[in-house]
Amino acid sequence: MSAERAAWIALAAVPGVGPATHARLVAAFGSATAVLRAGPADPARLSAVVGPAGVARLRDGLREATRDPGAPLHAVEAQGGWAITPLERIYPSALFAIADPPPVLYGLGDPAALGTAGVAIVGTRRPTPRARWLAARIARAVVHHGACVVSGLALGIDAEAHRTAIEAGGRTTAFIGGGFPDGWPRANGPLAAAMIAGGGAVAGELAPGVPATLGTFPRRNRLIAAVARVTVVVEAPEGSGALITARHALEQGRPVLVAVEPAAGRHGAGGAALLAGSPALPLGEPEEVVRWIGSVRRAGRAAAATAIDPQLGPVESSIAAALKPGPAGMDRIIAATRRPAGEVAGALVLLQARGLARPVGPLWVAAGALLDAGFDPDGAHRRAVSSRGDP
Amino acid sequence: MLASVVTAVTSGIEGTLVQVEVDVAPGLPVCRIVGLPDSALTEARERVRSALRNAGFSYPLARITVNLAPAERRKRGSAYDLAIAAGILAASGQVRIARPAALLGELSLGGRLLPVPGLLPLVATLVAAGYRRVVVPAEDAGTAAWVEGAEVLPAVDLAEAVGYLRPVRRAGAGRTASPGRTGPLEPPRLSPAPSGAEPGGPEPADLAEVAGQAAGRRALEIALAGGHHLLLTGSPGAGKTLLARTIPALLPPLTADEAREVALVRSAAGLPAAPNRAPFRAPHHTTSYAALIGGGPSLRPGLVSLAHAGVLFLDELAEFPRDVLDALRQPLEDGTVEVARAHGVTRFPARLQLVAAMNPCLCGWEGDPERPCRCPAGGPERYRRRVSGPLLDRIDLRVRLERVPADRVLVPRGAEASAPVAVRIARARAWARDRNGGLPNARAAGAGLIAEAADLAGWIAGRIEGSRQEPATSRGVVRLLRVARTIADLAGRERIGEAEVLEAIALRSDPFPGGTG
Repeated sequence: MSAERAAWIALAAVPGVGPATHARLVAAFGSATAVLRAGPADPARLSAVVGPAGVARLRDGLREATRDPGAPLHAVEAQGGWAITPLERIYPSALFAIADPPPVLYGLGDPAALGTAGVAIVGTRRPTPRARWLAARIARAVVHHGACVVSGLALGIDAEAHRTAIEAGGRTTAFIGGGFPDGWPRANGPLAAAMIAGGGAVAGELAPGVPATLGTFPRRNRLIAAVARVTVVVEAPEGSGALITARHALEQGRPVLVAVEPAAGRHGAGGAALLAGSPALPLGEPEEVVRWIGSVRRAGRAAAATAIDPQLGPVESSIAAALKPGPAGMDRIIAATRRPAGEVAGALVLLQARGLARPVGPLWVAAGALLDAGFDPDGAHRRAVSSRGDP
Repeated sequence: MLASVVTAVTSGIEGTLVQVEVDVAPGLPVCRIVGLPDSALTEARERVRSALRNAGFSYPLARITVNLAPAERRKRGSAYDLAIAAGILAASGQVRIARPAALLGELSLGGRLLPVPGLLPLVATLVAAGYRRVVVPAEDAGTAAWVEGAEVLPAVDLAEAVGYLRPVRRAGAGRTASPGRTGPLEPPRLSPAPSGAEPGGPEPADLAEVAGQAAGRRALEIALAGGHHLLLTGSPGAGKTLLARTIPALLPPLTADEAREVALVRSAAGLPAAPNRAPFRAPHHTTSYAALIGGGPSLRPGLVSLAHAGVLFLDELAEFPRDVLDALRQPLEDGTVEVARAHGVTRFPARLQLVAAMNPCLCGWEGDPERPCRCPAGGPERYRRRVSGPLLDRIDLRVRLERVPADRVLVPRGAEASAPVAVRIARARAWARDRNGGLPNARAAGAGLIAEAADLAGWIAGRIEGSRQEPATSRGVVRLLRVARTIADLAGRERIGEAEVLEAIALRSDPFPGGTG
């Protein structure tokens, strides 16, 4: 088995062997070990599967793989990662639903996380502050439900979803378009490390060090759609990669939800088109996403994510109330709280330090527990007053 | 016969005494000027010869040698004409120097005295060296009177100028054109102009025109009250420039010392003395390095020096050339700017307050709630890196302005006008000066502030860490306390409290929040 597994991974690592060729070769020869043993020496048999051109393309690589079949796996493990194949039970069974499941998944972190119930949160790399707010609210709802947040570790909505999930104490997994450890934007390096540390995983179908190409990003989107029970498109302009994920999900018969923002205009044009021309459904309130997840076997970690009720001062409390309906600029917050600009700015520093608000561009956006539907700013203030005993 | 008179040479605003020695000896009638003169100075021969004749004196038909000492110092320009002419008159026995005076001025062929660019530093040098009596062209008398201790002797022509050197009794012998003006001059009393802006600068604006922008207005008020540098960021149309245009009307008048320094720099730049208003300079980002920092063929002070004791507003900060931004660090740090030349380094004062504005990215729309940013991935970060960390670090107040929706711009909401804000700023500044020995809070000594906020020290450190900005270094704490002190001054509070520190932390926040990831 171990020899077959090494041969399987070695065969997948041969340049020119994709999921389909891998599957046909293994089927024709009986096993990956047999492909490596017999293939290079028997061009006629190889040709019957991949054609004469295929033989010319693959023969050198196969010979190379035959010499040391364990090398690719060793290379993965040397990087601190793992490689899993459909031969193992840990391989996410959801991937068998797609036409060309990857023969090998390479990754970092906990491979078991890939198989847990998840929600895909995808969207533009350049979100508006409001879209970040929406993505964060959805991610928190998913985590509180005990499910896993799945995305692509890209900038923008992807990063927002992953980061919020970690902050809420949840698990989150990503399928990346290149081979680790360079398969994500450099700015997301710390985020990837946090995902792995938080019990999640970062996986992809390219071997470590293999760079992403234009085609690999749309292809990995099929994996995101496959492992997620439901896919949520948060903000997608025309031509966004998030729409490809949504299309894969629809083809696989999975529900697709679009977080509707009537005011988004061009930012949300792709999402609006998706709603108009496909079975995708609008997502009203972010918290409604949990109705589509179904029952979840709660892992210990996610269950622990109960919010600690923060205690807020009077100005903080009224700012929190002002941020609850959505991101707001200073002028709006000042108008809502009726406090001087300096006092509001100071209270925002405190809220930020508590992890309840953060600046995004010119706006302030709710964060942490303030994103939860059940959070009550007034109550937080009342608790503060009663615990201190002063009005 | 040998005669010697005194004049001065400047490099930037620092000057050196120059002795003009003239020897008139029998021989072929030639005139030589030695002592590293430039071409304008070599031509002084021709001007002096004509001026002497046309003023009724005689030009000695003898061998004339003019030496400008110290000889190793390069001398330029036409300010020595008068001294050379007086030296020739003394050496040829036509004028007896009974009352020595330093002499400055260019001569016309007819013997009239013409004004000299950069006169003020020259006079200041002479007075500092003990030559209090200084003869200057009458047109420059107002400028020269800025120098404390100077006995300014204005002259319209050569005859009047040498009249100041002759024995007192013979007033009648001098061809004094205007006897009423022979005494020392009082510094001119200048009434405040309607605006402190230079002609050609941006149109001044009143805060009443600024809709919304509570955070921006507040940051500007604190910046001007304490002399803290300020960075305004935001998308096009957020009102960065409009806010900056209100600065001239908000700046308090200069103190006497500041006014003198400003006049000195202006004179070195060849500009007339200005009204007693704090300078406000707003150069475009295409302005040359020499014009901004200083230098050029005639070694003029740059705009950073012309903004001394006032505000330098740099709109589109990231568009300024890298070398200009790097050169800004020194003025922001120690209040002077050095211009290196072949013959050494010249130092100009440049204690300016920087107010800068910039877009969040090249297209300007990064982070905008409505319009998408068109920059490539990583583009906004690249754009911001044009402004280096060390420069950004010196800017204590950063505020991100929000674009005000059109409906709120068009409906005026009773925004506070500039006048009451200017009063608050002036009052806060006066308090700060009293407490800091004349300095604004931005330059207040750290020790006093740390002592004042000693009981808050632990709390402040916790807040700085909590705000995830930077480690709580003592330098960082002092910077924070200076801003907090200004906030307390504006509120009329004796002590810095938690509220002031919190607002100071808010004002020093990341100027481009949430841009990445």
